[in-house]
Amino acid sequence: MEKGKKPVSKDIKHEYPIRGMDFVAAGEASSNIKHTLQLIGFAPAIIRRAAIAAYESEMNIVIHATEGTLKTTISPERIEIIAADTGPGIPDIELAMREGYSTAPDHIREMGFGAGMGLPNIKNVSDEFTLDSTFGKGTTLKVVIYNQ
Amino acid sequence: MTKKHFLCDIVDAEKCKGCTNCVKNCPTEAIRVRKGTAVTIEERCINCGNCIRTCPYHAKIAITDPLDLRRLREFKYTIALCSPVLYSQFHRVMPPGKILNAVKALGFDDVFQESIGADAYTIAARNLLKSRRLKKPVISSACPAVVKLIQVRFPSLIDNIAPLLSPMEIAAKLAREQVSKNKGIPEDQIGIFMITPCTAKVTSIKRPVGIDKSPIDGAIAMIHLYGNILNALHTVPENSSLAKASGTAIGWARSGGETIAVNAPNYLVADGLNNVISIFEEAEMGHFKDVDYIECLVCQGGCVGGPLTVENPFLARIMTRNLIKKLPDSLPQHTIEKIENRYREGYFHHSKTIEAQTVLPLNQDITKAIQMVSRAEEILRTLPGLDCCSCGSPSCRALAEDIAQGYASVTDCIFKLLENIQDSAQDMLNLLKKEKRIRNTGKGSKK
Repeated sequence: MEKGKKPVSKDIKHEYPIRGMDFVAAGEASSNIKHTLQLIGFAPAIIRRAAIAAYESEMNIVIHATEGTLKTTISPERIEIIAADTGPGIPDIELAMREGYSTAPDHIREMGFGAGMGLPNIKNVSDEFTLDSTFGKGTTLKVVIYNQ
Repeated sequence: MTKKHFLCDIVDAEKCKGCTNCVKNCPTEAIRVRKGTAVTIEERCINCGNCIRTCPYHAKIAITDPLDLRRLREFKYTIALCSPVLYSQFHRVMPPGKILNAVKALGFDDVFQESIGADAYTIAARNLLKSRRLKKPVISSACPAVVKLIQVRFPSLIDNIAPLLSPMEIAAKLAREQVSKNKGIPEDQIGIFMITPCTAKVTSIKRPVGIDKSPIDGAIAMIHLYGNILNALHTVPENSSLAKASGTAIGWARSGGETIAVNAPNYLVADGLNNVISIFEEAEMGHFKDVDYIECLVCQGGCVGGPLTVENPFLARIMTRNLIKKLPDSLPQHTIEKIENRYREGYFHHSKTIEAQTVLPLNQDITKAIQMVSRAEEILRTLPGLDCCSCGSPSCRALAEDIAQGYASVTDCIFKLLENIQDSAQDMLNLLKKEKRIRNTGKGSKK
């Protein structure tokens, strides 16, 4: 880098607000994230994993929470997605991670959501997976996918 | 070096007004208007033919073989390969044997049905689904624009494409072999010409996917040959020996026909490019694990909606349905057995793997690409967001991406240009006022 020039940021950050039960806009954030990753030119397999993680965490906020945000930091080395919400929180994380376990209400399940695969799917596609939740307050999920 | 891509159409620069109708209707954002003329970004084009369909000035021309059929003279024996869509293009239901005979009368030595290929494809696909070795859902390889769309935009679905030659390719392979055997003509002296409703097929003949060389030698747009066929229909008799394909195979002309034929337990049918894209978006997310078979066709209504057709696709759909009611459902048993043997030999399979052709990245260097995306987002925030297309790019977002790549400039946006002009006008005005002031103060000091 030339002296005196402002260093150019290597990563790119985005923040998408998500509203609970807003099925009109549901999926928009993750499809924007996917488009950005395609423009940058990550490998198809990496994009697929990141798109699944983004979509499932976006849908978790839509289905379970009051409101939240999806924050992404994309760098040549890694894709980080943080989904933070205010909502009911997860009473038993271990139970929530079990495939097929769901607390989604019946009317949501009838629509084909809440099959209890969201969190396990996200974990399957991610290299780092950190789930923090306070019962009655909200949940923060951090996912990292390495570009390798 | 051979070019990886091949465009199915060219622009007649004299007819093109630079109106942006094609730009707005291109599903892969492959067209820009630059210097008043439509230009196609080749690697993005999937040859769907939407631009040909929507151009009000007919400036987009499908590249097919010329109407005078002069290329037929290059071959000792010529075969017209007829799409089943052709049977639906006349105002009343006519036996395929009559229509095929009319095509033959235009100067071909022989005529074959593409639908024979669909009959074979049906049997191959059924066997393929039984084998359980394939990644589910299996996506049909029959629509060449769908295959190209997957290569360009959904490369992670390439392994889901059925590794089978398209019905057109199968039919041509069978026709060549049969004629060579029966008439003793060397295979390379037989010329096979597809009478096509479809632009993507034209490209798939020039640049085949899954095989090294296409078994078809040329393509003639159905719409170009239509008048000649219509004239010939008045004079030629029916020749039922030309029409051997089953009604079910002819039913492939409209969307859903293939699914009826293949009869997969859990299937999904989508037609129209935007619908197909949304299906593939979902499939990429892994949402269709329970679906066995996906029939996707980029033209609305299926092949009857092809850009090189004459008849209204909805009417053509009814014509197809009425015709196939009169035809046998399937091929005779001994033919089916022959086809099954051929399937086991691998006769219908691709001979090489399908490669991804991702084109979206802004730059090969990922760090630079990220900077360009940041820059494009900055630019996008300054654009009006009207997606008016006056700049020649399909949307404000696409223009921002084009500017970031250096293919366009901010002043291509007429609103930004207007702003700039207003700004410079204001600057000039300010300058004039300043000059006047100086002059005035100069005058004052003289006093």
